[in-house]
Amino acid sequence: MDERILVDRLKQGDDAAFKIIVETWQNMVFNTALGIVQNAEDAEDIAQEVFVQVYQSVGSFKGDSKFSTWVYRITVTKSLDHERRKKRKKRFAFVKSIFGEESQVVIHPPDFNHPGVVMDKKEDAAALFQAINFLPENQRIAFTLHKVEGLSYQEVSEVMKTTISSVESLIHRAKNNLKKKLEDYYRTRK
Amino acid sequence: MNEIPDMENKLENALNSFDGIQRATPQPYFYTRLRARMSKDREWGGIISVISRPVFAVAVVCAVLLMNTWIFFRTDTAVNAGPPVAATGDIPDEYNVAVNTFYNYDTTP
Repeated sequence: MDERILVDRLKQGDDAAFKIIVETWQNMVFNTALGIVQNAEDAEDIAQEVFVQVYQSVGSFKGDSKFSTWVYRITVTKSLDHERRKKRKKRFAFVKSIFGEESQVVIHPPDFNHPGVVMDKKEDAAALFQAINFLPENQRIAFTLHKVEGLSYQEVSEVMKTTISSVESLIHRAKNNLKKKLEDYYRTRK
Repeated sequence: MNEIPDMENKLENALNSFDGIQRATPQPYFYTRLRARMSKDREWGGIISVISRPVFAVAVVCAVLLMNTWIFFRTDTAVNAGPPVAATGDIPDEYNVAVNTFYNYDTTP
């Protein structure tokens, strides 16, 4: 069914249209969130939050961009919010542990293995995901959308509301930074 | 250049490890779980939307003020009435304050 018709029906509160929308875009939302937060449970939680937001604010969707672009933007924002909340919690737990209050410092999770990675590339992909965590937010989002979600530079620029050349530059810098991080990683493992 | 001979290869392999990546999918019945969450949120959302209304806050403040006023006037009338007459002799009786001292024993014929 046409995207615009679905959105119009959702604006009128049609639950059947909402179901179709969820089933059409749930993998895209989940995969994007998973690429950013690198945890399946958190990604599921974020995906649910995204669709709740879609349901509640579809009225504000003007149709200036593609519906999927709008959903991508919500997903990226929610994922980054989630990351910031997690970092805040980590810092708070650390401060509490310094003052001797009963609190556990959050332990770093083990290597993240994306279920969609080809079997013989799992180890390298885990190292790459670990290195991605050290990238600045913009580079991280651009790289993840391009490499994990497979979006073109044009599509990434639409999601990030920037120009194609900015996206090219972000991804170029991301690759350089990742190379440095990966080099450190392989040297320490040697 | 590198201490590890094939470092450049390793880096390239790592950077290209996402090639051919498949989309991850959520657990089955995602829509059912989403719906359950939405109806749960709606229940709490109803309560929160009532509590967060300014009318509710004003009503609570008025109720507290009325209760305070009522308690104040009730206490005031109770204080003005003074203590009950019978109560004045109760304390010495109860704690045996009026017991005779040795002096009383000595002076008693």
